[in-house]
Amino acid sequence: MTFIEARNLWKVYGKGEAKTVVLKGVNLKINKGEFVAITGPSGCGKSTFLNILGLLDVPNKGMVYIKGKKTTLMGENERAVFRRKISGFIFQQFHLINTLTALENVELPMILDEKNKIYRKKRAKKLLESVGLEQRINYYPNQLSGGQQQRVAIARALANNPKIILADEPTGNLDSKSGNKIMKILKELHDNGITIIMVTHEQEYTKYATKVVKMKDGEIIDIVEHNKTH
Amino acid sequence: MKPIDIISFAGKNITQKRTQSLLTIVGIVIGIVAIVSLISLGYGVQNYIQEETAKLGANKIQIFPMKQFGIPPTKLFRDKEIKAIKNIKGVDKVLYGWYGGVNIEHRDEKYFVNMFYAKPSNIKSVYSDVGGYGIEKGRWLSDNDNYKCIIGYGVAHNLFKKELEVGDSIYINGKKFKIVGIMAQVGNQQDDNMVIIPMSSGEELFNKKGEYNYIMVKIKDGADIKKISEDIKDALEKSMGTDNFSVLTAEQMAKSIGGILNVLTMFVAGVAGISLLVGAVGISNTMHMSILERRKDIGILKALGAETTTILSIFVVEAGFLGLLGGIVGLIIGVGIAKLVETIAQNMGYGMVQAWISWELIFGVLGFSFIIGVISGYFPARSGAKLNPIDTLRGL
Ligand SMILES: Nc1ncnc2c1ncn2[C@@H]1O[C@H](COP(=O)(O)OP(=O)(O)O)[C@@H](O)[C@H]1O
Ligand SMILES: [Mg+2]
Repeated sequence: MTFIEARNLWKVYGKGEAKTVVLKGVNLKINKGEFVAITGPSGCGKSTFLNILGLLDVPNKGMVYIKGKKTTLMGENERAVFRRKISGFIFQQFHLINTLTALENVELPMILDEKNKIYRKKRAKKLLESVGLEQRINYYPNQLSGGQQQRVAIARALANNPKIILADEPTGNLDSKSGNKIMKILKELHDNGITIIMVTHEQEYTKYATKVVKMKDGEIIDIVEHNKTH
Repeated sequence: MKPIDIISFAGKNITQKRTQSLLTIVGIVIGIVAIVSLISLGYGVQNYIQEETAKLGANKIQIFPMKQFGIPPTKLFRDKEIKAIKNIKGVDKVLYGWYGGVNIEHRDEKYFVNMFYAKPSNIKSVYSDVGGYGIEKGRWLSDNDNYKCIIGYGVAHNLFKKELEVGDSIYINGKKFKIVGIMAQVGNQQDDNMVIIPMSSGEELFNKKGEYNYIMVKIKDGADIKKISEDIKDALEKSMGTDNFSVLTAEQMAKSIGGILNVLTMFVAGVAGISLLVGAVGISNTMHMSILERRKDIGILKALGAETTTILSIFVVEAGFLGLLGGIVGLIIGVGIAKLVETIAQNMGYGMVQAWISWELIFGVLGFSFIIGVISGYFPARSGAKLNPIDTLRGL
């Protein structure tokens, strides 16, 4: 069953001389429960594609369907609601809020979704526990290592029980040991039925994927289905 | 996002930058201090004037033998003038006598106070009719009293180390007087710091006969005070052959004080306005900086699913809090100043000047300062809320 479908996505930045066409008619179908890895050289449009799939950005042309719904027609607020209820983002630079503790960072999506305080605290603690940070819940991001920060970010992405995790080079800023830890967590999430779309440079990590999408110069040049069973 | 979470989020931002927040609110603080002390004291003084006017009456005219206070009179009033005034239509009662300064002495303590003498029956009849004057202890003077006196509230209670009582004796300009009455508090320096003696003793003491420097006229109920004033002026000019005197109604006195007050009010209001403007610009600037610093956080919040209005509310509430903080500090200082001035005024004998501090004033000021914050934070907040999350997360 097709969960997310990108149809003929175009994205253009700038005008005239400075105009760059970042996506040139991208098509992709993603089924529920898939683990999609997007690879390709730097600057080929992977992040742009991911952001559009996660409704953080909009294409200049084309359409993203989620469960058949034309999301590109949604207003900005409706997309915001989708981001906090259906999807969770993980970034290469972690993007935690530095003035908030680990616990408060994880609470944030639930605060935005108007969950009550007791539930919030309890769930944030549980999530931090599940990524092995029960000792660090009151630490600020600058008191945590990169790997720990990324695990906080994962806990945050999971706060509102998302159906989709969008990860943009989640291991890109980490050493291989921390990177492996993050990948193990993502694999577990996938095993639990969450759809994962991950941009990565590391060939090694594509082994977890059910589908590997290769991009170049704003186009998808290859799609490899792994079809493995867990 | 729930309002309570917006508030705690905004509050966190402020407490995290304590020094910057404090500097930001200085302008608002100064403006609010000016406004609070202005309103509180302005109302206080206005109430005082109104009460004075009401009490000392729309039915009272005071006459002095000079055009301006501080300039010595060229010609004093005599019985002839008193008689002329009494004959004017609408005049009810006329109190006339001498107003001056005396040394009073009691148990080796010596002070300079105001003194008024007139015929005792005349004093009693007019004072109990124009309102505002009363006896706290003892009695009014009577016509056969000699070397007896009534003392003002301040003289009795505040002047001497040991309070004076009815029956005590004091020396007035060296002559011994027995206190027969203490006046109730009037609320102004002149009246409360006064001794009143019978005309007979006064004329002996000052070596005068049939000369007066003060006349108070009580008009009949419903009579036209303006017309009577004019008639008095005409009569006096004719009788004295000079126009070097002044005829003042309570309304005129209130007006001249009110005029000075208005100038003062406008000045303080100007100061308040400028400070508030500076304060508003300060808050606006701080919010602008604060949003620049937190571009990335805005991107993160949007990526996590915050709507534009949520971001806007967070920053607007934060700016409102800055304003409110300025309001609270300003209110405390302003009330402090008003109370200080009130205390000073009361120590100087103006017991009726009371700082006007009410819940309306407090909540009004706090609401006002919050709104100033909100207004000055709105435009920076709106530009922050409109930021594109992709750009801010890319570090643009
Ligand atoms: N907001 C933007 N404004 C201008 N150019 C952009 C913007 N975002 C991305 N680009 C350009 O689009 C191209 C693709 O960017 P991106 O999707 O981040 O690539 P990737 O993630 O594959 O490295 C790059 O050349 C980048 O400079
Ligand atoms: Mg990228």
